Amino acid sequence: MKHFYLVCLLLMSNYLVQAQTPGNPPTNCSGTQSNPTLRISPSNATFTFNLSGSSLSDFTNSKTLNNTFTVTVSAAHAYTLYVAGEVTAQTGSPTNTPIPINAFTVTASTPNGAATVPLSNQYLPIANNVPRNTSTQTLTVTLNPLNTYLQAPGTHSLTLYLYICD
Amino acid sequence: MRKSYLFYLLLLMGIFHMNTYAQSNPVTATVTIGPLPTVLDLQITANTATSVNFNTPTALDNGITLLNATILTYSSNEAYFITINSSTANFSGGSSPAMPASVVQYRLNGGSTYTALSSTAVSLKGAQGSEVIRGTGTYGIDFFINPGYTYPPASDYSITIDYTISNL
Repeated sequence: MKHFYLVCLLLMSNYLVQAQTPGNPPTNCSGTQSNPTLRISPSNATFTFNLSGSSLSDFTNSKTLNNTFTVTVSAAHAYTLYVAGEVTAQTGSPTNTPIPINAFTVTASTPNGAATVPLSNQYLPIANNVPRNTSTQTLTVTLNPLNTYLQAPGTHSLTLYLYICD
Repeated sequence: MRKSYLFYLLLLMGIFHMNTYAQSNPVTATVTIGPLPTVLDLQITANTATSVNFNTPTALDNGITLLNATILTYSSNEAYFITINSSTANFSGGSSPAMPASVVQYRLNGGSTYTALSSTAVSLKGAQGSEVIRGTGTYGIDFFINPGYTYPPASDYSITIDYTISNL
């Protein structure tokens, strides 16, 4: 019987660890014991901004990281790929406004019917019920124009959180 | 009986645990935005050259008011202020006496009072130490031009007005 209680504690600690993600993870993971895994490469990329002459085109046009990130999936069943995001402004300023998270969109190369939607701090599906033999997805990240000029000069950062359900 | 409940409880938790295995390990990637360069952009987007004709006695008696004679469009991601000044103390053209810049008075559109133009830069919007918060938008400039009868007739009076956006 003591072993049962120990198992109980281990199971509950597992839930607690898994709760430490942005927003709430999807609750509709209904697969069997498959232990899918994923990797993302590279771990970082950059939207670069330059001012050339008097042109503000870097602020008035959207920017895209085309197929910059590759997600490698290992799953025993069809899977759904979820993404959430978090924006931080590294430049401290009382009047600084972070880039709104919905200024970004993330699109998977095999969305399988998933719509391209603005990024959120809640997990959203960007690839639905993808066959398990589609073991890689490339991600396209788009940044809408920063033409409100409400973000202070300096470096801002977006963290993407991804995982899959099968 | 209690053992049965415990058994079912553990069975349920085991099922849930199996479901959690259907979620992968989370992975993260970082996207760096920028660094964003400093933007302090000011453009005249309407009426870059304003022409005024004093071709009636009434105009010379009362002066001429031009509402939104110039439209400035600003884009700044730093707190800013805008100054105005004439590039010279007097108008070019005409003859003696020279027509001073102060013949032109200005205000932000909708303002209550006009200020005489001079070659010294003075605040038009915000000021050093009380800058305006970053953003983008437009300002309309109203002019009241009133030379009176002091200056000789001429058709080539001209003066350049400078607008400067700054965060310093």
